[in-house]
Amino acid sequence: MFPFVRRYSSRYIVAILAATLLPSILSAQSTPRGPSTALAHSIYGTPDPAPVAPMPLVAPVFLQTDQIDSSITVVNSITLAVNGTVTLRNQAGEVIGQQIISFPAHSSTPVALKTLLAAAGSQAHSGSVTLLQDAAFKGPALLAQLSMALHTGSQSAFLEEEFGMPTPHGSAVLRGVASQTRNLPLVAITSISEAPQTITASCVGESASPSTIEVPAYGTAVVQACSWQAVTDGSLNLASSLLNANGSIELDHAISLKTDSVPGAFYAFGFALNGDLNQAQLQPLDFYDPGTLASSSTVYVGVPVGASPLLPAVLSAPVLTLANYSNQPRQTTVTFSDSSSGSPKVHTIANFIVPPFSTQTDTLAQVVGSGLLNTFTIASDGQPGDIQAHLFTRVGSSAQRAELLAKDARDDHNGGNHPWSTANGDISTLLLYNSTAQPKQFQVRISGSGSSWLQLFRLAAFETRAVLINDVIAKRTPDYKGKTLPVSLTAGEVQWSTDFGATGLGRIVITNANTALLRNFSCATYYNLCGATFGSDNYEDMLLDGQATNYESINPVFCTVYSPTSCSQATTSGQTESFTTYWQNPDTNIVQTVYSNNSYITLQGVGSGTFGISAYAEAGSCATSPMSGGGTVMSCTDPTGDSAQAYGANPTQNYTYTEEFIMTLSVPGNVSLNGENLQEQSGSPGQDACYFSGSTYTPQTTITSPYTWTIGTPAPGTVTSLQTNQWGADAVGPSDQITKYYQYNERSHGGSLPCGISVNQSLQIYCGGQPYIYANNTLSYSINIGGVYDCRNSTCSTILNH
Amino acid sequence: MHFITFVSLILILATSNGQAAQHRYAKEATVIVSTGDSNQIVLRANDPRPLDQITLLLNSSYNYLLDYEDPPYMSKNELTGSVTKEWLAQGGAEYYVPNGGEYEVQSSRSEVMSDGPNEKVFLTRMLESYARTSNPGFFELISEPRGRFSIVGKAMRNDSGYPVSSTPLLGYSVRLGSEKQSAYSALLELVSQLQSASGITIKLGTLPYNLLRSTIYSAATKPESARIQLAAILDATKEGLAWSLLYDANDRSYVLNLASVGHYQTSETGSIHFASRQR
Repeated sequence: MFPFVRRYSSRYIVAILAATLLPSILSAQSTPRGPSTALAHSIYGTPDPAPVAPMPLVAPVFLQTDQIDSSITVVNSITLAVNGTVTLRNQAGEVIGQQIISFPAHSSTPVALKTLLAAAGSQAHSGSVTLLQDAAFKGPALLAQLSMALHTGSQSAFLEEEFGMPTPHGSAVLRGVASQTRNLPLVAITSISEAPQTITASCVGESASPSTIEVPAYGTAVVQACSWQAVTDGSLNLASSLLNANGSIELDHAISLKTDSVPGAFYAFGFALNGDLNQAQLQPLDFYDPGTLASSSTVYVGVPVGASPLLPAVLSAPVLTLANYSNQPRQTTVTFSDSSSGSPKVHTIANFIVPPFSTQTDTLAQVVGSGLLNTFTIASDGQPGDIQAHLFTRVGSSAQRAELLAKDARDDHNGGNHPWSTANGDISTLLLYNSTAQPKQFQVRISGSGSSWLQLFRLAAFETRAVLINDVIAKRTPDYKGKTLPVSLTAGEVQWSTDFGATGLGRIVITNANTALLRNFSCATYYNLCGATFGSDNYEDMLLDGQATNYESINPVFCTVYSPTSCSQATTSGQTESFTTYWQNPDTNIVQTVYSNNSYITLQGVGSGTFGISAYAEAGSCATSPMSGGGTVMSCTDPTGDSAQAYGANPTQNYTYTEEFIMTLSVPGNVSLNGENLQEQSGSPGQDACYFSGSTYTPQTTITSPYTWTIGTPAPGTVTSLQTNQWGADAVGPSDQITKYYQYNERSHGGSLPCGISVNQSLQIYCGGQPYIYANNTLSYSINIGGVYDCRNSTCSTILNH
Repeated sequence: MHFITFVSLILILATSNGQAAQHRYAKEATVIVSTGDSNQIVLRANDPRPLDQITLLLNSSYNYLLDYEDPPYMSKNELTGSVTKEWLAQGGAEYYVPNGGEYEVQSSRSEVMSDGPNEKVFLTRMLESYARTSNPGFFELISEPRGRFSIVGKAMRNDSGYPVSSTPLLGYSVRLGSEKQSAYSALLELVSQLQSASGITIKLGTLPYNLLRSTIYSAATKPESARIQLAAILDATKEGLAWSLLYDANDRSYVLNLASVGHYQTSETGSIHFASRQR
């Protein structure tokens, strides 16, 4: 979405914490370890104005009928639950439903409008929706998207309407392009002003004079585009009329709306019907404020093209509509960045000259990419907003389309928050695009039900990258700290961000092959520096001698208000979102700085001991106070192996053919590793030569379950004490029943005694949080008539029948 | 289909002659991808317990958490001798195993891989198709909390070939002590109570001893089915553990086996390890 819609940073929560924890901040600055927080202040000494409450998010139209269900999906991007007031109004601006809902921390919450209407006893079929978060949160935390599900065919079709927040820092104009529609789109114009306003509406290329439309205070005017005929809910069932309309020729419509009120006093959204009643599709008509555009280039990130397992069907080549709102011909260039083969390849694939006040549509048939790693940039001469583009792809032979929101190439948002789902066959793919000519680092955080996964992705210049959330969960992909998401997680919220605005773009697409679902969420976030936290607990407090790692992090706190002089509630309009971090590392005999940027510092341990790190962040006229952190460099020597000692069967248990082994680690210098974790995994498949088909004892070729020991601490139910660098006990061997079973049945099934079973065990140790495989062992046992021979590598012990 | 008929004939002859069946079973179930449509797959098993073999495949390759329970097979219609001829010639006793063989189920990859409702739809359809074969037992699907399913034997054929229903062993209600104890102790207590309630001997098979004895478990105070109690004990370990409860017709006992579900992965360095699934 273009910048006239404000999007917010999840990091805003830190501003709230910073405000509430101010006394502790002062003490944190003198504390050498752990996270600290600081508020930003004006470096010019300008007093901060009073905080400005966030403006409401607006969706101009919803439809709720027997055939159309509307719901909103609200994403809470912060680590506290946030109350939001959802208000439904009719066209006259009267409230027809209202509810305060608590949205859990880092969550994605669907809200059915049908339920809200029923709770209010309303019979309304349409209206507008606003979402206003709790005023106690001085910065924005909630983002939302409205979805209309159309149930006219065998499968539901979705219309996505992203909530917007009009801003006074743009113009009084909104422009929108409807591409290749069979019917005149309907346009909903919603006032967020307490006074009536008059909208002057026109269509590019139309000879008719512009029309005026009266919009009541907080009300919504619904009009047919270009004819400007009003559609009123009282006299006409809006949804029914929409479904009964159907044209035969696909036309383009470039619309301009201008208010006589102040900039930001209204917001608009439209849609058009395509397909017949059995396969009806609603196409979105998004509006943009040309006064908020920073460039004359538009970017479409991750356009679905061709066939891909991530797509519900084969998609056509992209269809591009260009509308020229100016009185001069405009030259337009289409650039295609194809990342499907790994390294991105950038091609110029088309050049157009668009005559004044006209539209033109072309199919970009020369695009041969497939999947989602396709990004298009449409650049034109002239002023920002002169050329407005609309791009879509057709889904199979149906009327369904994959519709994407355009992004300004110089969009200074530097992040996004989106809902995700893997339930019922949904596939959620986060798409990121590096719009710069340099490699760029993106931070991605996937959250849900209290779990969180954080990873950094380095994208090449102009690369489009897909992060498949289903894979992250199903394959238990570790994040940068080794944490994985639980496989039971099926929905949540994902955030992405870069360090600077106008350098990266992103969105999420949710597909489902079973239901032909293809939905996009593009909510962007918009940052300003209000403060910063330092030394996140996502980073290790301990550093290994000789090891280089991203150590201290600084998380800037961005907030959004409309005063150019504020640091506690800073401005965003027309300013870059960049910030600069100044690091200080006084203990260079303990750690040396390998690298630093605005987000983090990479340190390398060069000696044992504690060290301190300090930093402050600065953006524009705002800077934080210096913040201090630090940690310890410890010497952590990896073991070179271990030796095992057999302690016999555990007398307190009833698996008396199982040998308890205690291991002693070989550590250079006899450094104590007590307290560190040691984990076993199954290595390559082993062999179970005792098993025969039909046996009631399942074949054992892996460790029955991985286990983690703490070095120096006996595993429960085994030995009572361990010496330095000893670990165990580890039970190796069969149960009594298995032993007796194969002693009795093995030879009758063509086998012989002794019969053997072996599994491969891989041992890794965690020292300072880093895994290191120090040994690969074979655990084996052979069952004979007289007993069992249990072995850990070459250390063996016989347990006779008893 | 001809092969199945041929194998069945051999089994019938072998059983009727009182001689050991010489059946070549598959080591594990396999997935066959259709040459014409890569989305169409066939899951194929060849084992005395074909559904148990398919269960292992679904757990390892398709992200399921699926448990398996034999019905108490009792008739010659569903059992076959498994010892060698040489063993019998030496005067050794026969040993009976379920007389299953080949079984296959066709599906789309997307259906099998899906979770949630589709998973249940697929498993239900699989059990319906299994019931139409001559393989032993009749099974039902039981949904457990947190995405766990159980394939439970609900009936078996009698000597006349007619289905006879049975009470699933884990359907008995038991009440475990609510005090904190190790998961291993809780498992022993569950087995003990289940033996008392059912009158059937239950033996412990392959178990993750290290994990069970270090996991602290506290049972609910109210009586629950043994199936729910067992799932709760296993979930307490935080590991994805599945059970197979296999019936031994020779001494009319059950054997409880537990194993991690997961799959093999090859690391960047080429080493192979088994990636178990956590809960």
